[in-house]
This record gives sequence, C-alpha cells and structure tokens, in this order.
Amino acid sequence: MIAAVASGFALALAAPWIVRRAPAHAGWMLALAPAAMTAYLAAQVPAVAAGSIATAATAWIPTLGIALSFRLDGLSLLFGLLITGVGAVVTVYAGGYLAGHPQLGRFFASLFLFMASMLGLVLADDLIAMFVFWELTSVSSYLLIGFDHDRAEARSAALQALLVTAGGGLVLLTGLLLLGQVGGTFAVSALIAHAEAVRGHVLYLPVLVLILVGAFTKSAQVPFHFWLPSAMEAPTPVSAYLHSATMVKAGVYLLARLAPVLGGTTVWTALVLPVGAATMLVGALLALRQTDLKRILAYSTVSALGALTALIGAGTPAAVEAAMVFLLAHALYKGALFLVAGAVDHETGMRDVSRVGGLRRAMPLTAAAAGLAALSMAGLPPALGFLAKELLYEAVWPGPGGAAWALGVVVVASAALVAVAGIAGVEPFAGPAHPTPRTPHEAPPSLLVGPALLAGLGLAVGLAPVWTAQPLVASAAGATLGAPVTLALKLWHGFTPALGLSVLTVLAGATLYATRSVLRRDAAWLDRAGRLGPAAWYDWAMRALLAAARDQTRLLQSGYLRTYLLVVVGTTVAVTGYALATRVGVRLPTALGDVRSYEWVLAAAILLAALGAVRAPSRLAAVAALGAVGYGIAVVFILYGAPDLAMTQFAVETLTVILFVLVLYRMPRFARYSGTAARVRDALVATAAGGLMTLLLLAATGFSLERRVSAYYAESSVPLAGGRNVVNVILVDFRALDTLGEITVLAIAGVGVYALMRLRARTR
Amino acid sequence: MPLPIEDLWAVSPEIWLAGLGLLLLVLDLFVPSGRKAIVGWAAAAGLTLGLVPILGLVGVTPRTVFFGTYVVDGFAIFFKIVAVASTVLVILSAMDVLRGQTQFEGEMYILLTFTALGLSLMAGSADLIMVVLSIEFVSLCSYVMAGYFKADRRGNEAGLKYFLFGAGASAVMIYGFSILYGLTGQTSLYAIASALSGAPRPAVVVALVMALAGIGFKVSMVPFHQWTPDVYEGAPTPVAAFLSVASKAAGFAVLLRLLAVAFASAPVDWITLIAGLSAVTMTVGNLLALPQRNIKRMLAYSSISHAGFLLMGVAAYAGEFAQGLLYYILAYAFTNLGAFFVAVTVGQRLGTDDIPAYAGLGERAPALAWLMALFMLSLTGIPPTAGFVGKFYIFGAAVQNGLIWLAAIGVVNSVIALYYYVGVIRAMFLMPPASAGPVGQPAALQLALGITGLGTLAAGLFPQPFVTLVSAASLLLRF
Repeated sequence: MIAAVASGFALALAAPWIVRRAPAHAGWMLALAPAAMTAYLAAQVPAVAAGSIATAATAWIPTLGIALSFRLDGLSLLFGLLITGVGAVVTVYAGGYLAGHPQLGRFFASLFLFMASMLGLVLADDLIAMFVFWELTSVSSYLLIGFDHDRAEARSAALQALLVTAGGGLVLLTGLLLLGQVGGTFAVSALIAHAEAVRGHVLYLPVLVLILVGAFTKSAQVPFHFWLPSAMEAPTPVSAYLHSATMVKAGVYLLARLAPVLGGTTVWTALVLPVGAATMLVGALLALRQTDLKRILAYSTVSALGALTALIGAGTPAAVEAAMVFLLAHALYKGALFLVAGAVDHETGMRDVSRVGGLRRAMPLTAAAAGLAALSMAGLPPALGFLAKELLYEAVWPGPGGAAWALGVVVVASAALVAVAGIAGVEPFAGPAHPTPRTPHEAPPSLLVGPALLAGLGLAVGLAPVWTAQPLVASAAGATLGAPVTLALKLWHGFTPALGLSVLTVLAGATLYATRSVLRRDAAWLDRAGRLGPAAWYDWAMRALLAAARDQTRLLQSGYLRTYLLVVVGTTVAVTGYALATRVGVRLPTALGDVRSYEWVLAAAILLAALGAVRAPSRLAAVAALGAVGYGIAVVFILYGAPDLAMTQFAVETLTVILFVLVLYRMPRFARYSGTAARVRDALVATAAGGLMTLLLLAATGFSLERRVSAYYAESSVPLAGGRNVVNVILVDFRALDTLGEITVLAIAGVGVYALMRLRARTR
Repeated sequence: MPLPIEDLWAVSPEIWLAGLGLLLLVLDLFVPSGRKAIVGWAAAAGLTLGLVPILGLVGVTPRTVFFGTYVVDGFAIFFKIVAVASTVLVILSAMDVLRGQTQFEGEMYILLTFTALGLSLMAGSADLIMVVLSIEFVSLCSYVMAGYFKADRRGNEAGLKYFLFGAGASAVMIYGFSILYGLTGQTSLYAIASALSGAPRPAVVVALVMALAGIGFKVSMVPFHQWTPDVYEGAPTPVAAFLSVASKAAGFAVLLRLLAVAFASAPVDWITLIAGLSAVTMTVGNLLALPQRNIKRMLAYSSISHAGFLLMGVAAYAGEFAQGLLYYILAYAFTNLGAFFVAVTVGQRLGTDDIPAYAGLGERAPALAWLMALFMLSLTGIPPTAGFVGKFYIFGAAVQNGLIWLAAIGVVNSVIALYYYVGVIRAMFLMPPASAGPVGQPAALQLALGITGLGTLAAGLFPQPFVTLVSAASLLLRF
C-alpha cells in the first residue's frame, strides 16, 4: 500500500518528462499506472470481503506517536477502486481533451499529485497522516482549478475553493488534535476501541463540530456548497474526477470512517442528517435552474453529496448500505456525464443546454453513453442507480431511523434529479440540431472510452450486482457500521412501498423535464434568493475582511513614529493603569497640612515653567523653560536634604541647556505642524502618561521593597570606600568599571562628533 | 573569587565568535575594495566553524557559569545553533546585494558576526544585567544594519525609527527590571525566582508588563510591533531576513527563560497574559499583512503574526518541555529565511519588491517559483512542509494545556494567512508574466536558497530527526 501511494507521487514527478517525450500518447501511457493499481486493488476484493484487513505501517514521527500507517478495509477499498479506476479513465480522457496544450506536463503532474494524495487519504489509518493527504488534495485541486489561468474567473474560483476547503481543513486539524487528546491515540483502528470513552467525554461536542466543519467544507454541504459550482472553471476531466467522483467525497469518507467512533449519538444525527438533507434539496432545486451543462452537473453533485451525508448521519444499517451503493452508482454515472459534457463542449464549442440539441446524429456513440448514464442517474431499471434509489427509499421509509420529513425531502429531490438527468443526458442529443460555434463530429476514441466504460459499468453492475458490487459494498458498509453486514442486492424487490415511490418520482421528474423551459423562466426568484445566499456571504466576508485590514493599517500603521509612540504609550497606560486600579489601590496622600508655603510657590514655578516649555514660541525659550524645570527640581532636592544630588542636577541642567542652545541655534524656526485637535489629543496622552508615572511612584511607596539593596550601600560606603555621598560612591567605587565604560563611550562619541564637524568644515 | 577554568570552556563558542569578529576587522583592512566578498566568505566559513564548539557542548550537563550569570543548557545551545546558522545563510544571501550598493561591504559582514555573538549571549543570559547588555548589544548592531543604505531615504528612516523605538522600549524594560531588582535584591534569574514567590503581586505585575515591553519590541509583539514593516522595507533585504529570524528567535529565548525561570513561582498568571498577547498579536499582524502589495512589508506583517503563534508556544509551555516552540522556530527559520532570500533575488534582478512583479515567475524562474511556493505553504502551515509540523506541534501543545480557545483563534488566523500567502503563489503561477526572460541567481544565493528549501521540505517530510534535536534542546535549566 505504501508502494502504491509512493508510486503515485513518483508518477507526478515523472509525468512532465513523459509528456515531453511522447506528447501524443501521454494520456494512454500514463493511464497504465492507475489501471495497474485498480487491478491490484480489485484483486484484494475477495480477501477484504472475507473480513481480512491488510495493514502496513512505517514510523514517521514516533516521538509524537504519529505513524504512516495504512489500513485496507472495505471502506478504503471501495474508495481506492473509485480513485484509481476513475483516475485511469480520466487520464486517458485528459490526454485527448487537452491534446497539444503547452502545459500538459504540469496538468498531469498536478493530477497524479492529487491521485496519490487521495489514495493516501482513504488508506491512512493515522488521523494526522490522513490530514496531511487531506490538505494536499486541496492544494492540488487549487492548481487544477486554476489551470486555465488566463481567465480571471478561473483564478478567483481556484482561490475560493482553496480558502473554503483548506481553511476547513485547518479547522479539521484542531478537531483531530482534540480527538487525539480525548482518545489518547491518532490511530482510527485504536480509537474505535475507545469509542465509548470518546462519546462520553466532555469535549465530545467540540470535537464533533470541528471535524464536521472540515467534512462539510470538503464535501460542499450547505452552507459551504457554493465553491463547487464555481470550481467548474476547471478543465472538464478535473471536474469529472475531483469534483464529482473523488475529492468532494473525502468529507463523506471522513464521516463514514469516523462514524464508529463519533457516530450513533443523538447529537451526531441531529447535526449531520439535517445538513445533508438540506444540501440534497438545495442542490437538486438549483440544478434545475441552470443551463450550463457543467453547472447543472455540479449542483446535482452537491445534491448527491447531501444525500450521502444524510444517510451516514442517519446511521442505521439500511441507511449506510444505501449510502455505499449510492456512492458507487453516483461516481459511475456522474463521472460519465461530466466526460460527456466535456466531449460536447470539445466538439461544439459550447455547453449551454438550451442552445445545443440534436447531437445524436453527429455523435451517436457519445449520445448512447450519455443515455445510459442518465438512465442510472434517473434511477431507472436496470441501471445501478435504480438499486441505489430503492435502497434510499427503504432507508428513509418512516419507521426506526426514518422520518416523514426526510422522506418528503428525498422524494422532492429525487424527482428534481430525474429531470436534471434528462436535461444533462438527453436534451443536448434530442430534438432538432442547433447551429454551434464548431461543427460537431463524433468524439475521438480517447474521449469516448471513458464515458462508455463508466456508463457501461453502471449498467453491468445493475444487471448483475451479486457478483460485482455486493461483496465490496457489503464490506464497506460493515466498516462504517463497525459490524459485519449481509447484503443482498437485486433489481426486483417485489411490490414494495419503495417501488411505488420510484414510479411516483419518475412520473414527477418527467413532468418537470417536460416543463423545463417554463421552470427556468419562473425560477428567476431563485437567482434573487441566490444573491442572499452563502456565495454572497463569502464575497461579503472577503470584502469586509479586506476593508477591516485596510482600516486597521491606516489606523495603526500610518508610518509616523508619533502614531506608533501614541499606541505604545496608550497601551502601557491602559494596561498598567488597569493593573494599578484593580490590584493595588493607590493611597493618595490625604493630609496636605504640613506642606509649607514656599513649597507651594516652588511647585507652581515648576508647573509654570513646564507649561512655558510646551507653549514657548521659539526654541531658545523652550529650552530655557526646560532648564527652569530642572532647576526647580534641584531646589526640591535641596529642601529634602540631598544637596549632593541637587548639585549634580544643577550641573547637568546647565550643561544640557548650553548644549541645546549650541545645537539648536542653527535650526529653523518653529513651525506649527499640528492642529488644535491633535494638540489636545497629545496633551491628553501626555497627561495620562505623566499621571501614570505619578501613580506608580505613589504606589511604589506602598510596596515593601527589598531593603538589603539600599542598606548595603548605606552601611558600606564609609567603611569600604571612605565616602559619605552614596550616589558618588556607587559611581566611582562600587561600579567603577561601568563608569569607566560610560566615560569611554562618551569619549568615543565626542571624537566622532569632532570628526564630523571637521569633515563638514572641510567640505564647505 | 577565582574564575573556574571550565567556565571558559562553557563559553568557547562566544570566545570563538568574538575572536572571529576582531579577526575580520583586521582582515577587512587589508582586502581591497571591490573584493570585499572575501571578508564575507571568511565570515561565513568562520561562523560555520563556530558551530563546532557549539556542537561540542551538546549533551553537557545543564549548569550556570560565571557565578550564576550565564547558563549552558540544551535550550541555549539550540538557540545558538539557530543564531549562527541563520547568520551564515544571511551572509551568503547578502553578498550579491551589497556588492556595488555600498562602500562599507566588509563592515556589514563584521556587524553580522558580532550580532551573532550578541544573539548567543542572549540565549544564555541568566542575569538581568546580562539580559540587558546582550539585548542592547544586538540592538545597537541592528540599528546600524537597518540604516545601512544611508543614501537611501527609506534606509535612513528605517535606521532612525528602529533606534528611537528601540531606545524607548529598552528604557521601559530596564525600568521593569529595576523594579524586579528592588523587589528581590537579586539580579540572577534563579535567585529572583525564589525571592519573587513572596513578593507583592501588583509590583510583580507592573515589573512583568514593563519587562515585556523591551522583549516585545525585539520579537515584534503587538503593540510594540510598529517599527517592523518600516524597518524591513527600508533595511537591506538580507538584514530584514536576519531581523525577522535570528533576532526574533533570540528574543523568544530570553522571553521563555525569563518567564519560565524568574516568574516560575511568581504570584502572577503570566500564561493568561501571554495567551492574550498571542491572540492579539497574530490577529493584528495577519490583518495588517492582508492588503500588502510589497513582499517585504507583507513578510514583515506576517512575521508579526508568527510572533503571535510563537507566543502561543510560550503560553503552552506550562513548565514541562518547549518542543512546540522550538520546532516552530526551527521551521520558521528555514522558511522565512528562504522567503526573504527569494525576495532578495527578485528585488535584485527585477528591481522591485512588489508582489504583482512576481507574475509569471513560474515560467521565468521555475525553480525559484517552486521554492517560493513551498515557503508560502510552509508559512501557512500546509503539509508536507516544516511549517505544518510546527503548527501541529504548537496547536497540539495548546490543546493539551487547555488553551483550546487560543488554538481556535490560531486556526482562524491560519485561514486568513492562507489568503495572502496564496496570493503570492497565484501571482507566480496563475498570472501572465509582465515581461519575458529568465531570472538569474548568483551562486551564493543559490546555496542559501537550496539549504533553506531543503530544510523546509525535510522538516516537513521527515520530522523525526528534527523532533529528536528539539526534544534534546527543550531541556531548560530551571533551578
């Protein structure tokens, strides 16, 4: 199994080279590899159906308990066969469809990257390894949707699909991490053994919701379904492969895979069943409205994915069996119809069903394949689709596990799908011929083999289900249910309620088909409703996000240092102030009685000088005022018995003023750069910052600081250094080396300034 | 107090780096201008040799040296390796840029070498004074490097802004440290740890918040992040790469050591504080990155958001092991350096840093474009890249430590980030090229790009050896 996955990745690397060597036959040659893998997997069917499970593992990150472990049970085998089988068909088809395209090598590289990732996804037993492949499918899908990168729609559709699916994938990662935490392991097979503990855990609901978001985004469930129709910008082989047969079913696969662990609870059913049912209905109704062949098929795919989700959500044995049969049937007929749509597009140059018609004459073989596939899609005997629909009705028939509303939804959606099958598979070929941009011819063999094979298989399996699908489907259902399943598939069930419903559905669908042009006209309100739908939410969210980002940038990142400082100071004041206010409770001095009159005068002088510094009309005046503030503070030092500190302060202030004057002398005059509002704002910020510092100082007096620090210096300054001025002693004795360093720095800076001045003098 | 001789062995990497820097200063005097690349190659070779003594310390019993001011443990060794290795790569990438653009080419290599020394010192500092000195050492070198193109208006602005902002942040941090010293009477982080447990809570909170300002500036944590885009844009691109990886990593080394050692038993809930800052940082950084059209500004903002993710790793540390944080740093170092190196190449060859100019790079320089795509995916955290394993680790640690809400915010941010990272891939592969012609790459840059690309891929595909490395390194000497 490891070899199968690895060879897929190797093929992705080799594909461009093969295309360059043999451009004409690349499709046929490259298809050999997936065909061989299909044969290998098909050979495993008897063993797996007998209940044996093949495993293979290799260590990846043993420290974290993550292994590249693979496990081939019925569910994996069913998906694996679809991936490799449809993959082989699509490879042949793409070789013809894109023949001569200059980027064909890149196309096949991306396609095989996807195939290998998808195969890894369904084979992986380790949740994290599975997630790795999961995201790789999203990335390769991005490359494939945007393959026709000349068109802007293709580019934006690719981005949309990636954002929804890979973004949903990241949500899924959180869910998987939580699940691993709750269950104690990342191995699905081991988690099943702990299922009871997981379902009873407090975190069960978050785990479930996160994983469901991942599955729903990938499988285009309401309200994430909008990306799938947009993804129709991809070349048709990609739509057929990724966006109907395989990748979009990864979400369904995940649900089925984890159903034994997470399923079977009321919450599970309450979350999964309604979403699936809503998707089924919405997809079917929207499909009726379309005229673009590919969009019709895309919406009907959405509907089918909804049905699968709903069935797994219901979780009864009948529902799961129906899901597995339906899964197989859908992959076969939808793949065929997509390939037919591509052939029609290729031959006529357009794919608007209302303007293409009568192609049965020009393209009889294609028409036959389309008719067979439509037969299966409409659920008519003897195709496999009929079997699937019968099982579907049996599963939702009111009783244990079924509900009347669910039955209603299924009947309405199925009727719509019958009509859609007609529109997609019959309308382009029936009726009178219309003129088209290109004169249609029968499709070349490479474009015919695929649809014929898939549609033919749908018929063959329907005719003889016992030998073909039954063992495979039964073991897949068994893996999902966690118990062996005995299943008997047959076309004729007798006169059951399901048969009656089938007849009813076909009649209703035929009526819808007959009135399709009226429906298209009258269903214009759906467009208006669509404008309020999730696709619009996505656009709105994108625009809002970008607008918010721009506003924030303008606000926070103006490029002006003053704005930055404003934010920093503001944050500091807010956070520290909050901590101070809530945790400390500053004790404001209450008694002002012992403040003497000259202290009042001094304080007033300092304040006036500070205000003067701010309001001064010239630089010199501002500097002088600042000096006055400094002198005032020095006087405070004197008054409180620190003459040494005061002397230092006097000296520093004088020096600063002189330096300022010397430097500022040559500067231009003050200009008024900011308006009154900005000044008021600055004043508020400055006041807040100053206020905070004051409060901090006041609060600091309340802290019991470590006394040893100051005590040590006070006690040792005389005996050790012979000085009474503690500050001086610290500077020149205790931290003498630091002082030396500072002096050196000052000296070097002085030399630098001197050199600059000399340089300037010389250049003049 | 005699100095134990084995302490000198413990700092042999630092001694080597200091000696190398001095040697290069002398060498630069004798190398004629025009051939200054010799100094660059010598610096790269010398720094690579400097890895030898660092690796020689791997497995050493964790201990403090120089009277408890400096520490030798796996954690410090890890960050020294990151610092020195990324300096080597930055030097390789800088050679082509500097040639002909400045007459002070040799000095840049020397400054980078000395900065690597400063970063190593940051990683091992276990004393408030050492922390301040090493941060200032790094900062001073960085100010000069940021404004290296002094004839360029933006370069000038970058240098000055960085300096003014940094000086302010340092002042606040030192104020905070002085409160710590006042509360405990100690400067050694280990001594502070035991003294802080009985300290008054409000004072500890104020000290912590203020100390975070200085370190927050170094790692561009919101709200101390604003210098980042202006400086990255104005600085020579290799310097921006250096600041975004090496400086940031060392800043996180200091941050984690400070929190995990000094504040281990302090009466303050720093986990919640850091978790909150993490959420704000990644969200703000991401939203700022979203509308950018200049690759350097985009990478600058995205590096802010990555600081947020790394803070998540710090918050999820929870006193056991820091593998998540370390793995993320490792992955981020490879990836972000690589992304910047691509920006260097494109800026150098096409003369612009605008993302629309990357249009059609997939055809004009396929190897370069695929590497850039790899880096972008890794920065988003998409497998199979190093960034995915890093995110996996960090989210896992957050979930395990009950920070599920933070992991959820991280996921939302990853989705936002996907948008702008994929924008680059979109330009390279889906947009038609503006002009034809291949884009050449100089040899030294190719080497640097190759190493980072290989690292990004290897750490994503075969994480086990790196996990082993990180697990060995995550042992942080605590008491």
